[in-house]
Amino acid sequence: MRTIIATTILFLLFSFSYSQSKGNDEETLSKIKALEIKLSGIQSKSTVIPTEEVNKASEWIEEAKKSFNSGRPGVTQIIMEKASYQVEYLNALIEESRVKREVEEKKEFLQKIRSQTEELKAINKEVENEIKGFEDK
Amino acid sequence: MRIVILFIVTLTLASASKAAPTVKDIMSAYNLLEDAKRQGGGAYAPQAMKEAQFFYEQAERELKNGNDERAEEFRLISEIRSKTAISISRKKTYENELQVIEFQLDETSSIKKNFEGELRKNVTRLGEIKEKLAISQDRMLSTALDTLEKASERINAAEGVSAEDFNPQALDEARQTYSMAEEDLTLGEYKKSIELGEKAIDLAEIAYERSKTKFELRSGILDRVSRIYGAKTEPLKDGVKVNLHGVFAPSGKTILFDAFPSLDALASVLAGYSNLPVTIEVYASEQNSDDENIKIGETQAETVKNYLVSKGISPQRFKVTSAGLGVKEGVKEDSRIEVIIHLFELSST
Repeated sequence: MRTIIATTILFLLFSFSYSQSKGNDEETLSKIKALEIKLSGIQSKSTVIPTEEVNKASEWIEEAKKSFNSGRPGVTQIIMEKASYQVEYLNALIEESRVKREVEEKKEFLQKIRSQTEELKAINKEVENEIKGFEDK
Repeated sequence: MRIVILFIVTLTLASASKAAPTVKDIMSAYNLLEDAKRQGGGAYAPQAMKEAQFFYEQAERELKNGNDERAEEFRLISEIRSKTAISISRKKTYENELQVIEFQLDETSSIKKNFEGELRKNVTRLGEIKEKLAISQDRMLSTALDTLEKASERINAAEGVSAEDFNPQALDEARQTYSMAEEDLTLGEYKKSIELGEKAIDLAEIAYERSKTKFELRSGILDRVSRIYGAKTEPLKDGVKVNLHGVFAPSGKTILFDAFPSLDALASVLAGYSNLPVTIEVYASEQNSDDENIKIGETQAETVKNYLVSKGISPQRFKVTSAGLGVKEGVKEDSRIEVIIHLFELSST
């Protein structure tokens, strides 16, 4: 009887552990997939980030997949985190580049407005002098 | 959640037993961390900085424990987080710069707008001035043309009263001033042209006024003496000349009978201009010597004078001379008596 009870408990524990492990595997796979999608989005959108940084993320995602297939969930988890941080870094670079470009564009526009203003000032001075010339006559 | 993940990662790394590549110098992670701090990572990306610091410390610890593989992974993650913090900081710096630029842009746009408004106003004003000036120029041209026309009329009028004889200086000045006014008109100097045109008018009017009286006086005398039978008349600059022929027989001392009507008519004319001086000049014939001709001429002139005095003309008005033989341009002239009626008043001589 004891043996039966012990076997049943072990069986239940094993079943629970198995189902838990299966659930974790699915979650890891979907995370890897999500990272792939994010990276693909970054690659298609931006040309301003260094290729080697993109390649690192890509390489680590592949590494995570291999590790997962080898049944090493712990290592997979680390590699995924590393890849995830790298993707975050790539996004930061894209944002930085966007704001930098905006600064450059605004600077250029400011320069344009300034030179237009100077031009207007000079023309206005000429017109004022012409008026003065007429009034002095 | 983040802390849980960090914990799991740390645990997993700590329990990993797979062989790893030799660890690199973790100083690179330290340097990046310091760089991130200098660039304001602490303020702009506190979470990333916290993680970078955490992983760096883990790497340091694992390195001390001889776990090179784990140390390498921690170093890598620390560097990624530091670089992320640096990027976020730089983005923030750009955003701050952007704010300053946008402020300057607003300010400059406002200044530009002001200049645009001012320029628009000034251009309108200039247009109005130019329009007025064009109208004024048209008027000036018209006035200058009118003035020149008037000056020309006045000069013609002065010439009509023989100002050339009576006031040549004023007439010359009027003509010269008119030419200058005409020149200024062609140069577009309308104002100057008008001024000179007006001056020409004044000068021509002076010439006209000063000549008119003498011209009328001379015309009146000419008109009357031209009716004297046998008399030849000629206007002079300052008088009228009357040539009388056949008053005396050659070398004669008495007036011929036929000459009395002419002398009477002359006396009548002279009586009408009682203040005008008269010169009687006798030109002789060639029959005698020069001395004799002079003497005969003097006698004849005195005779004519006396006759005229006998007709009521004041003797003070007369001057008598004898010219001897009359020669003009190498040709001998007939004997004659020239009576010159001067236009200036007797009292002024």
